[in-house]
Amino acid sequence: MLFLGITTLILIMLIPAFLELKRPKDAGPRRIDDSEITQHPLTKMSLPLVDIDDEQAVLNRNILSILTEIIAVIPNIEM
Amino acid sequence: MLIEFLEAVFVILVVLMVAKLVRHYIFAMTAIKNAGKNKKAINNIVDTVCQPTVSILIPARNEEKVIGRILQRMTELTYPKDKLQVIAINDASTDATGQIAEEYSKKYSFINVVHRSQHEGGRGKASALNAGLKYAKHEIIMCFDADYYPQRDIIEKLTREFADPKIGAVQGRVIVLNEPQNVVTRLVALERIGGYLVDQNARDILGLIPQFGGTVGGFRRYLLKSLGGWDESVLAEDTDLTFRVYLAGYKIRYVNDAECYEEAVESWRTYWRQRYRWAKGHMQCAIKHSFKVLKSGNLKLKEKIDGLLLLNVYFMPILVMLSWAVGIPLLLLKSSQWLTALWASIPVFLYSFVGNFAPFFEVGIGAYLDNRRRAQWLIPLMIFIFVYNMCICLVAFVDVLFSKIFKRKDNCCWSKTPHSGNGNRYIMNYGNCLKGKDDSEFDSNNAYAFSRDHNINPHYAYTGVS
Repeated sequence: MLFLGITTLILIMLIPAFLELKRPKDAGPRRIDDSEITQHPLTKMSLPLVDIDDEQAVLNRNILSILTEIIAVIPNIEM
Repeated sequence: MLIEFLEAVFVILVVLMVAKLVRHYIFAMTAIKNAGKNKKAINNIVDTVCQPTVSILIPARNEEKVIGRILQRMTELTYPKDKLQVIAINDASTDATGQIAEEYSKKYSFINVVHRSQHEGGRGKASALNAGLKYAKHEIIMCFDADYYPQRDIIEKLTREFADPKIGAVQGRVIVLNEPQNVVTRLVALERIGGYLVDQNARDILGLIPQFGGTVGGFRRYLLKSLGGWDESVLAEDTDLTFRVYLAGYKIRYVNDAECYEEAVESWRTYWRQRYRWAKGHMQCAIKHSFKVLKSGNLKLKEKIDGLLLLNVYFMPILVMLSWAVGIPLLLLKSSQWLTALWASIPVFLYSFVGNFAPFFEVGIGAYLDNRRRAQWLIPLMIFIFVYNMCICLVAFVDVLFSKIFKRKDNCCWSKTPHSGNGNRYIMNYGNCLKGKDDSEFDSNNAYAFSRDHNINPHYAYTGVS
């Protein structure tokens, strides 16, 4: 009786899976899109990569990043 | 006395399983909580400023059915070509792989081909990548497998993370291209959803250890060089490198929106071979790095805990199996009442560890977040994959054990997964549009559709060579 019960339970659990296999409604693959890359004019500046051990370069990079953010916001302020 | 011993072992096993389960609950909750959040929106402006030069390594051994597809895709990337170098490594192929790569090299100056002779080649992916690394001249080294098909803007998405000097490596998301093919590919696709969208993503958000998966990712060249490149003596060279990066004081960033297609294994036989390699390689890494992770001064406590759980993930199916072996005699011997309740909970744990070690709820949440509601219906079938993985991990464990006992040197030659190129049929056009539901929807002008209809190599459909 227990065996029968467990078998029935497993079958019930598997029914949706068999249905999806038989008549797939979501067989994939998931579509991947290419988002639009906004090429900001500042791209030309192209910051150099810095090493974790080069403290001065890390500092310079951080300052430059902040400056870049500020400069990027300026046109929005005008509007 | 025996019963008490068995009870103690059983309780330890259950505690380990609960710990693992709690970890995955935290991952699942983190993924839900952070779903849709556009992280670092303000930095997008700055991100585009970080455009280092990039060398892309594509190791290929007998990949004539897919090499043309990825090389063509390399020419379609939006990353400035003057900052790009693509190195196709023809690892002593006996088919037309080298020939096809050469044709692309002649046509595009940024594509180079490294040919390895029969004597040099055939020693594994790590060996091939090291051979390619010698010719890489740029700041960032990226890797793509020959059967992969990335987004056009994937390099921008991955390289922007290197603006942070602490980031030593990046990893993108892998999506199964040939998912509709059969039940194996559909289940592997679910595993990937759970593994990347939830597991890797949550580990990145929580500041744990996102894993470099060996492909769709990259490193700083000086870091990779200082680490001595890929270790050719381990089968899971990606996991090995992940831990070497962390032990060196750098971090790995997982970039969920940097997506790339892969061709998943198409049969249970190839699934076994692939997972056996992963399991054995992971176990080798666990032996190699577990102690170093514990001792490391560069890792936080949470990173150490996550690192140990990650390194030992392929032991979990064996522990579940062991808990059965211990639990069944205990049940038959009618031990204490509370232990019977623990025994009863084993099936729950078993079911929770299905898939590529991403539990069912993790896969379910991943599918939900990915808007794959109907694909969730297949989740109960993953129980079979788990049982299959138990056998795979057990055989790998015995193999690793014997290798250690008898000091046997592991043979790290290519145990590569064959790629049929069947994924081509799901690619609509070069612009990365997919339909994939019904073959009749494919554009007849499309090169891949053409190659499928005429049963020819997709490369020739591109170039017009017959």
